[in-house]
Amino acid sequence: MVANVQTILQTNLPLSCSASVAYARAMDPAPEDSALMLRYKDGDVAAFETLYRRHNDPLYRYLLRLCRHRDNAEDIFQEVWGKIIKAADRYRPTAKFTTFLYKVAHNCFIDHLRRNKRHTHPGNIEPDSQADPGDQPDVLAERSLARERLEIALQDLPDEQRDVFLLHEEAGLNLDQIATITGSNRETTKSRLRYAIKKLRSAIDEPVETS
Amino acid sequence: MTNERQHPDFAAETDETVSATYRELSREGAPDHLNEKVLQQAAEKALRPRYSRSIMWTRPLAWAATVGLCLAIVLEVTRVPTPEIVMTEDTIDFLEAEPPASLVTEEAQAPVHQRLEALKDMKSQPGRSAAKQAANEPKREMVDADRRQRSGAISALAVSANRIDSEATNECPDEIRVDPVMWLACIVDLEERGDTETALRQHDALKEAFPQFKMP
Repeated sequence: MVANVQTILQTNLPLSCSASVAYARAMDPAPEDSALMLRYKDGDVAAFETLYRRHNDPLYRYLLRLCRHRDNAEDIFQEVWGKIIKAADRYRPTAKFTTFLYKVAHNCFIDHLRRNKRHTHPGNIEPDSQADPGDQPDVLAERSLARERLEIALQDLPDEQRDVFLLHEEAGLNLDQIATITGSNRETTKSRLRYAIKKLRSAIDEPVETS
Repeated sequence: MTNERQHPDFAAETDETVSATYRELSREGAPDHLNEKVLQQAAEKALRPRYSRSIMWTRPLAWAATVGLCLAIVLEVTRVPTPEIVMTEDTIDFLEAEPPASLVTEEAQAPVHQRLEALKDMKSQPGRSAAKQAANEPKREMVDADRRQRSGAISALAVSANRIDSEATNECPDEIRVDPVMWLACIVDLEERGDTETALRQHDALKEAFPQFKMP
């Protein structure tokens, strides 16, 4: 794919020859998301690839935890990036790109819920965790148990609280940005985040009752 | 993202244990097939022209039309002749005419101290005012003659129109008192009607107002 992109770039140089693009390339070694998006708007596919690599994994995890179903998460993921690509022509850097991206993702998830009317049955999301090889077996076991409890507690959280927690953890957004995305006020967002963290913390600290 | 995590607001709402456990739990990445699909879609979009070929021909046409319209407007604006002001005799008369009576009245109604100051100014510059008066003398004569003629006509009309009023009040109306001839005619009229007292009073007032007027 990288080779494809390079070929496209080589054959498509005039598209990326505007002054703004040249300036962004020369002056900024790690350009901001909005600059990359503007470069892509001018036809620079490499800029989009950089942008995509920066956000693809956190966005995927956000959708995966939010949907609790891998296939649905993948569908929504593709839909989100499709919308971002489509909106590139009209893109203006009025807000942070991350906020824009997760707003689209949040809306796609809401649309998905409306289309399916009721929640899909939670699928098995296998944790892709890796432990440090130097850790003791009892420590590893304890951490593994904590992860399992957190996984269960996260799935049991109400949708709004889980959404806020994931936006906080995966996207690294602050309360105001999360409030913008979820369409609620700051205090509500703060309250939801506190409740979510409190429940997850208690789940990690206390053992899960086994039937 | 790093900056956001360093924000105090972010730190206040973060539980380190929960966050660390979540990081250990959540290490999935987007699958390769999805990455390929999305990047392929992005590359295709970048290669695709922004406007479809069916409407591509309209762009140069629109530009040509715009340029043509601009040229037409510029030519139209430059061709329109500037109207010249023709100074006829009427225009000159109008420009040199005395200010309207309403303005003169307003001037006359100005506060007393302003009028006194204006008078002082005139007195302090006798040469200037004398020269001005000399220059305006023929003009003033013409204007006076015109005024007299007009006031005569107005008075004649006023006499007939206000006869009823004057009969009722037995006084000569103010419009007539402007002209001594008409005022005298009014007095004679009063005498003929037998209102001698009023006629005498009006006669004294006439003498007082126009001391230089020679009574017949």
